[in-house]
Amino acid sequence: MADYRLQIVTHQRTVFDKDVTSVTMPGEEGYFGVMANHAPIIAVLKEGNVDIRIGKKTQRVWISGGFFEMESNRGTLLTDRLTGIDIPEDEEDQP
Amino acid sequence: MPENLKALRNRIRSIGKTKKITRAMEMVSAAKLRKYEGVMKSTRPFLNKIQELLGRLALSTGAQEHPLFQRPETGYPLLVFFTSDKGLCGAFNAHLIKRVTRELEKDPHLRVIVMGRKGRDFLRRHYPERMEDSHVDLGGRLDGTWTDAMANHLQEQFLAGVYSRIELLYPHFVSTAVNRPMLQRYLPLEPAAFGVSEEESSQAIDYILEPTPERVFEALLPRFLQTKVFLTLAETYTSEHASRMMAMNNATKNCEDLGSSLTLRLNKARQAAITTEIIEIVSGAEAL
Repeated sequence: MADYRLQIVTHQRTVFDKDVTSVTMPGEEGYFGVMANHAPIIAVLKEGNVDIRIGKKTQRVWISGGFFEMESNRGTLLTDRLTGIDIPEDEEDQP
Repeated sequence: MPENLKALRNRIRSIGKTKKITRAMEMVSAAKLRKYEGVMKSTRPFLNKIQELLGRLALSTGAQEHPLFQRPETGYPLLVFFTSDKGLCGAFNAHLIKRVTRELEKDPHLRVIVMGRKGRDFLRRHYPERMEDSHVDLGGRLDGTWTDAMANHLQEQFLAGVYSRIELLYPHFVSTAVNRPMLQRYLPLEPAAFGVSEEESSQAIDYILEPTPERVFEALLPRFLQTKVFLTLAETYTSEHASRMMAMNNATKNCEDLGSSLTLRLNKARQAAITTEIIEIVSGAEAL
């Protein structure tokens, strides 16, 4: 199955930048999934779980809300806070 | 010219102490600089992403109709002025103050919200009637509460027609050695400012907007504005500490130069004193 590039960017840093098969996320009017070759979309996301599928593996992260954009097979998820991804703990997290 | 040996020794000692202080301050600033520079560098991609998004969105929909893109008929122009709370950072605040003076002289209606003690003290003394509000003692905190509150306040007042336009004046961080005052448009938003090229504008993308175009704008624009204030504050802190690091580095070097020239003088004076003493003894012995 075709993959596409997904970037997850927070206030602090880019936390995720990998090829993914599909992503399911919490839109304001309910969960929806995006696979490769999706039409250009911009969606407002609310608080909830995001399931990132890479091949047959699924990774679940929680986001505090944000935005999703997809355009010519490049997905970008902007969020304020998220948990669940192994973020390299930064010693200089917040002053 | 018998120099006072004791006074010289005292001066050398006190300069040595000053050097220790300036070196310590330099190192503290270097550490803080790294911290804020890291925050700044990692926030920039986030802002750029939102900006790209807004840019493309502005083309494909009727974004320009949104009130945040409109220049209101009423109100007066506002400048949000970023300075530091503390001094000892070279000409950092002086450059900013020079620039704000120029802007204030240019437009008699312009009013200022100031952040930082140095800027506030200056405005309070010279343009008290032009200063709308001041925020001091943020203490280098950068957790988003102040910046979000500030951004929301600006947006509300702008939409209420209090301000006709809002600009940010802050020290733009070019490199550790260089930062210069920069004036940047904040509101109303200009599609041109999103960095959309001519080429791109011809091929607007037909986005699906979920749930509705209005909702997307409603969510995206405030976030963009908040991030912008956040980044501006981070940049102000970064530039401040870079300036202070350079200033303290120079001060440390000065102490070294001064110390070595004073040591030289001390040694000369000591030798002169010894020579005089020997001459006195010798001539005393000859006289016998």
